[in-house]
Parts: sequence; structure tokens; C-alpha cells
Amino acid sequence: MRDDGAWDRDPVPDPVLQRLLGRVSVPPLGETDRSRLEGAIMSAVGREAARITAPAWWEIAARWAPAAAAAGVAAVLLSGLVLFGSRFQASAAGEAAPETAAVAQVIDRYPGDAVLASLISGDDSDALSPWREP
Amino acid sequence: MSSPRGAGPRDDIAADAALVERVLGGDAEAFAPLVRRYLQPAYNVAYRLLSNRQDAEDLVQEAFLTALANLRSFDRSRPFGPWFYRIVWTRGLNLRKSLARRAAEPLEAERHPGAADPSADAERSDLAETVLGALAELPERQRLIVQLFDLDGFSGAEIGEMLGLNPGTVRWYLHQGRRALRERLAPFQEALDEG
Repeated sequence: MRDDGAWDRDPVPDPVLQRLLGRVSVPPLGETDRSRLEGAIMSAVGREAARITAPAWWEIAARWAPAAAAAGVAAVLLSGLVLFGSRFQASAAGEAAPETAAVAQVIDRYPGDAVLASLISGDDSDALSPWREP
Repeated sequence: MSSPRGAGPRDDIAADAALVERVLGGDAEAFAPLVRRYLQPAYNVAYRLLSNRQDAEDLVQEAFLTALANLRSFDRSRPFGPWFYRIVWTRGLNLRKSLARRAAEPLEAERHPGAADPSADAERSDLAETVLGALAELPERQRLIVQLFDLDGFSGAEIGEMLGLNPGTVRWYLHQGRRALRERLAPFQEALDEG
């Protein structure tokens, strides 16, 4: 029943003290109690597991972060291209628009005029339609 | 009961880590081997703290659910046992505060079912009373450390992790507690040796 008093390692178990304490100690769980408690714990675990082990939102976010970042970059690039393209088309259309509108007005005003139509359509052949007396 | 003494062999650590991995992957049944392995030591810790069987069972159940809820924070390179016993201990302290009236009651002495012998002689009864009295006179920390070490087989390091103490400090408390018990129980040494 003696310790050597060293604090850097555990003392050896004291069999006499163990026997004395064992006389008043609670026994370990019996097999029946143990099975009952184990069953109760596992049924509680079954009820709680789905909720408890479901990943937290930040874990889901972290899992998808690389894909989300790549998708974000792609979206920015794509929208930049679309924006740039539409601006380019708009400026080109802006330059052509007045002329096109004016030509349309002329064509509407003289619907049967083949010469005018030929001029407007850019037909540069020399072949003229036969002259007819009006 | 699986002996808790020692930090646990590496293969136990690896086996527990694999089970934890499976549980986190959604396999709740993988928690069952952990429950089987750590139920008895956890119950002993709970009983030392609460001195009541039903409260100890409730605490163990609650501690397993708490461990499950915090499984992601468990460092799988370390042994599961000390981490889990720490949960039992801290939740047990909280539970004991809410059961403060019971904490004031004397230590509960329970006999082994097989030892419930009506013909137990007066000397043995005196011895049990004296042991209980000597334990009750110890400062609580010393008493718990002596019981956890000498009866339940926890190592100084495990007790230290549980109680938030340096292992050297645990061993000092153990030394003090043992010395006090030996002084009180010295008169019974001869009777005990006779069996």
C-alpha cells in the first residue's frame, strides 16, 4: 500500500485498496441493464442521426465553393462577351439605321419602280429592262 | 468492460476513426460498436459523479447523443475514449448542478447482487461503513480520482483530460487520496488480508 510519489508516470494499482473500495463500489452494469441501455441509446441515435449528421450549410457551401467560383467566373466572362457584342451591334445598327429608314420610305413611295429597286438592291448589271411607252 | 487504462492502441484509434467516418457518412449503425465499447467506462464515470444509477444512465445516453452531434469536431487522429469521457464529465457536472439536492445525500453503497448475503457478519458491515466513511471524508476531487484510477482503471492521462488537469496533478491528488484512505483503513488491513 505504498506509492513512490513520482508524478511523471502512473503509480501501480493498489490491490488492497482496490479490494477495500470494491466492497462498497457500485458493480458494473449487468448484461441485462447493459443491453437495455445500449438499445435505448441506439434507438435515440436512429431518431437523431439523420438530423445530426446532416452537413451544415457552410459545409455544403465549402464543398461547392470551387464549382461555384468557376461558374461565377464563366458567367462574368459570358455576360461581358454578350454585353460587348450587343454594344458593337448597337453602334453598327445606329450608323446604318437612318439610311435604311430613308430607303424604306422611298421604296414604299414608289412600289413599282424597277429602276429604283435595282438601284437600291445594288444590282449593277447593265441590262436595262425594255423601254415601254408610258 | 473495455479497460480504459492507457491512451489506447493505434489500431483502436484507427478502428474508432473508421467508425466515426462511417457515421458521418450517414451510416448510423456504425455508432453501435462505439456505444458497446465505451458504454461501461462512461457509465462508471457518470456514476462516480452522480451516485445514482438512473441519473448515470440518463447522463450516458445524453452524452452519446452529444458526442454524435459533435462528431465532426472530433479529431480522428486521437483516441475516441478520452474525448467522449470529457463530454460525460462536463455534462455530468451540469446535470449534477440541476440535481443539487441529490449531491448533498451520502454516498450510495450498492452491493454486488451475488454478494447480497443476509448472513454477512458485523465485521464486514463495519468495514463497509468505514470504507464509505473514509471515502466520504476525502475532498471530492481526490475521491473521484481514486475511484476512477483504482476501481475503474482509467489512466492518469485520461483522468487529466476528463477533468481538465495535468496528469502530474492527477497523480498528486491520487497520492493524497490514497494516503488518507490508507490511514483510515489501516485497522482493517488484517481483516482484509484474512479475506
